[in-house]
Amino acid sequence: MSKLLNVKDLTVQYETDETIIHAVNGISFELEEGKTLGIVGETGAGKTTTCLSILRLISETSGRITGGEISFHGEDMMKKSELEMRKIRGSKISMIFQDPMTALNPVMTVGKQIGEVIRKHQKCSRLEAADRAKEMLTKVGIAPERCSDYPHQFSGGMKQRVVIAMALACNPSLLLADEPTTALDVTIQAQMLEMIKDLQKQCNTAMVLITHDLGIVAETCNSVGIMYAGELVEYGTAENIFERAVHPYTIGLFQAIPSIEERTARLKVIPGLMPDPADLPKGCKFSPRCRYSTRQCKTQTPPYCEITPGHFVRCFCGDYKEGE
Amino acid sequence: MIKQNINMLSNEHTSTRNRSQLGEIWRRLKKNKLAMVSMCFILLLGLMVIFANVISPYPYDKIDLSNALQMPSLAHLMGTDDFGRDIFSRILFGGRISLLVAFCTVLVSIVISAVLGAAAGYFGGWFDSVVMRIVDVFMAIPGMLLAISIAAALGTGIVNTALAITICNIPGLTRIVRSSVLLLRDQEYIEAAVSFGGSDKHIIRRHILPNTLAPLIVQASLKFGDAILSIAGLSFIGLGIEPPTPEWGSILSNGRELIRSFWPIVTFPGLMIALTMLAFNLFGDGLRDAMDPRLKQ
Repeated sequence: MSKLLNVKDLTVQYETDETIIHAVNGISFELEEGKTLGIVGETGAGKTTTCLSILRLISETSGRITGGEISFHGEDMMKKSELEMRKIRGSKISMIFQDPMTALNPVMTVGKQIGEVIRKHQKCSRLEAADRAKEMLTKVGIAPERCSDYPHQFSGGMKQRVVIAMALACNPSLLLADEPTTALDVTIQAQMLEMIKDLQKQCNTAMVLITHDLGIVAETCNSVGIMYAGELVEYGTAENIFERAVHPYTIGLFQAIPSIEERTARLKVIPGLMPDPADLPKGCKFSPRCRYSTRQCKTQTPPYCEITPGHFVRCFCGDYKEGE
Repeated sequence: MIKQNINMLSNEHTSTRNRSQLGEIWRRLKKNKLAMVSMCFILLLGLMVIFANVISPYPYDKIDLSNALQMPSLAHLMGTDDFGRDIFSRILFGGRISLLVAFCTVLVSIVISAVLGAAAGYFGGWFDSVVMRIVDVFMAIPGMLLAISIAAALGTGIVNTALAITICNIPGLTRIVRSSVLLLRDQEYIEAAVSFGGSDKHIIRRHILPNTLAPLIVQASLKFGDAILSIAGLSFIGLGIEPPTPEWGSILSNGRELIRSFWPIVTFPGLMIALTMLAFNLFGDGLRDAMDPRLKQ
């Protein structure tokens, strides 16, 4: 299978008057057609920024993509003009936003909103667009008669369905899902994921799924990237990450998940907080919180090494594994 | 199983259907007695001036010196002025001018300030700075003074009066539009629209302007009253509509010398100006409350 999306050394900075915020620091990943990549990380790790920069939606006033390459279908996205990007947005790459409550225009009926995306990218009449919109609504499990309703007449879960319908209306080859289930309750989360997976299979759409929830990743993703302070600390296939995690941060994340089998009074937490992205520590960015950190970790930046084919770790512990 | 759940979900809310936002606003507006009375008054006034030539008992410029300065009676509902012209007829035809000029000025100034304000708020940067500084300059001058100087510079007449009032309205309205656009620009659905490939023009037209409509409509109804007052004011000091064309302000101004000896000539036009202004203000307030239910609980 060919590579659909290839991100290499992507670096994004936000500038304020006093400081430079290093939101994303040289991350690389690739995605094949129809596959799903999960990006997991704490709030502020740079997950959303990564997604926005794929669509080149980082606001020009404060943020900048300072380095790296993004290629999509083999084409360099960084060299595209704004007009070309507009044609790609919504038709080839679309994005689902975190909060369905605010992602829909309150004064436009949902049918119109879906129809607009279709009409923007495909030449068709208003009526055809309305028909397609109804079809999309049916696909996401909403009765087509409801296309003339306004967003405030829908519940949160149904709004997210509408957002998904909008995102998939033009059969994009890549879907960026920015925490699509965070704002929803757990039962709806499961439904939503099931539906996204279903539609993804139907349309052969690749997906970048951003989430905090490792459970979701295990269910849906082929490969996983763990993000910390703007870096991918561990990246590999789902089996690699779930069964042979190496990075102390990844291991810490797994230990923080409550287990059904064991009775524990307290969950194991990773002590401390994520560093301020405007003032990142020297060396390994996780070292202040890492149980295994050595003097080397605090002074030298660990290499991003491939410990087994397709399994990357940014840690000195990777070195040792290799040396063994 | 999931399909079933989905179907249940989609049928759950069907009872709330068929109630559009407009219907909702209308329902809340109906509850506001004062606003409804004002609306009826405005509609009645509108009908009366539209059909002025049918309703009015006399031509507005028919001079009948033998019947000058008549007190209100059945023959002359509001009496006659010092030339024997029927005041009721003159008020009807005067209302035509007032309402027409007010309507045009409000419409034109709303359109211009919607475009200016939306562009300034959406694009920001130097365009915003330039537009807003010009607006600031205009806002520093008191409205009436500005209208007087424009009318004095351009000369009297219906078109020039309308132009003067339009120019006075634009700065304030532009500020209102810009401020609501600034709020809207950071909304997630605008970001979503960009992520679906929307161009700037498309986003302003389809997503931003419809959302600023609510405050704009309220402002329009308030400005309507203001405009009528401004026209009357300009005509009163002789810079607005030229006699013999009747206009509420100029009727008032003509009757100035008789204010102590013959009350109907100033009372009725004055009353009409005050009532119309009040009606538009009450209606505008009611509309605002209806559109934003959180404001008044």
